[in-house]
Amino acid sequence: MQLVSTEASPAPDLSFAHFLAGLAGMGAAGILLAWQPEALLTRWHPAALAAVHLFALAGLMPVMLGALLQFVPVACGLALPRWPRLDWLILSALLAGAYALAGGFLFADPAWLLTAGLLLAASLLSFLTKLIRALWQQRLQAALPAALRRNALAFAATVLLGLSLIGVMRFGWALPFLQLVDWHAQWGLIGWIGGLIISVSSVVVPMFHVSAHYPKHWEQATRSLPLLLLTGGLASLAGWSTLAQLCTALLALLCLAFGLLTGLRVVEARRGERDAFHWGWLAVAALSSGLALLGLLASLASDPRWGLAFGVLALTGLGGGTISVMLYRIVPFLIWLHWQRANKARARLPLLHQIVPERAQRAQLLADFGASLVLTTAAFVPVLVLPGAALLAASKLVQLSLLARAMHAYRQRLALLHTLPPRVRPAAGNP
Amino acid sequence: METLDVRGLPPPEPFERIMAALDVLPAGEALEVLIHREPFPLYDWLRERGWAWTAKREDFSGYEQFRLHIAAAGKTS
Repeated sequence: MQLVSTEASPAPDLSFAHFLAGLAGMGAAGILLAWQPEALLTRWHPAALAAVHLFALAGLMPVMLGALLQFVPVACGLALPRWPRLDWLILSALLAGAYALAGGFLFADPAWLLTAGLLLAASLLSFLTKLIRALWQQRLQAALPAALRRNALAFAATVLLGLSLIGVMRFGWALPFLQLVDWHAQWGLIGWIGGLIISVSSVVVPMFHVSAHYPKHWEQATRSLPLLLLTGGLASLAGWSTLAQLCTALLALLCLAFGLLTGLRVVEARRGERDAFHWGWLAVAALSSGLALLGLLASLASDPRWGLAFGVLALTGLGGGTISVMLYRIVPFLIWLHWQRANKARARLPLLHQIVPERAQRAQLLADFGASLVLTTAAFVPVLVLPGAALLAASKLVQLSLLARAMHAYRQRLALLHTLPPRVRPAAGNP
Repeated sequence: METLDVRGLPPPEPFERIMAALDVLPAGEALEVLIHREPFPLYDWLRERGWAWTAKREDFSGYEQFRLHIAAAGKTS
């Protein structure tokens, strides 16, 4: 039995399972909010905590991990070790842990919290081990592996802070609970999700839009992200509010700069097509700029609703929205790539943009970003929670259906390609 | 030796053009490719079809580009 595979472009089935599970998790969070719309009245509402962790852990996390399984080899040439059976167990434990955690919050059940903590610790720490092994084993000096190493550290910080919180809730560990909650949210939303989006965008945006690279100064500026989070967090704990505010302002500036630099690259793209991918990335750029403003307002205002609105926009808009846009490139590209590898007959294959219908992508993304904006506004207008949550659930389930159909077509055609005789050409490299 | 410049093309065009060029490459010839990113996914495809390659990183106006040399396995130089 092959225990470890380090292929440069591994078979996509495991990543596909991560993507579908993630979209289902985001849909489930929307359904939960639609069922209990009063959840968004405060961030401490049990249903709000359950929905946030469903969205983040059963939704964003599987998609991010599934994408990393492919992105790290394709973009860095660093193969993540593949453990065929264990990889499926890691995904299963992640999902079981995420749903158990949501149940623990929803029903205030400490046993569920403990179960969730154990499952999530086993799953996420296993994946982290794999990621760290790949990123640190070969200390490539290029900017992207270095950025991914910083992202992995933020991921580790988020997981450890989350597990500490379970320790406080389940075993009464004597730790500063409120401070830990804020740190957990900041390292998760800004350090891990935001950081990974910035790293991946530095490759995906110039490559797929055919635009200029992000400036070198920008790459240098993004290195400060974990340092700002750490300094801001410690300053807040020590009561140095001026330093904490300064860190928040600098983080908001980074978010704004990301939005502006990304928007500029999309507008000036040499690709020329005004398709779902173009409009989707423009929406990501606009959301990032808006999020920067919202983050600054949340840190200055005494009204907690600004903080709630920031969290909703960061999670569903920048996190969920960016992931939806990226999935429309990742999934078709993987399908196309693995068809080509199997296509020894050199048969004619569908083009990349034909794999998921563009019009459907556009409608889904419109609903996706629309839902995020409605839910953000719902922090101030509670009556909007129900339509926003229903729209969010519907949009994620539509995307799940679109991608599942593409994956089904992938498997059918792949099986057909394997039956075709290889094309014979005397001059080929074929032995 | 034929040189194929695929710099600045969106994915998967570089991949498609390299495959098409290799399809018609005369026996014993090599293909040189200029590309703006190291095409890691292409390497599996090349290996599975009996091609060998070398990749050289170069500087192009402050950004990296790669010069690939592709030939039938056992004939790279």
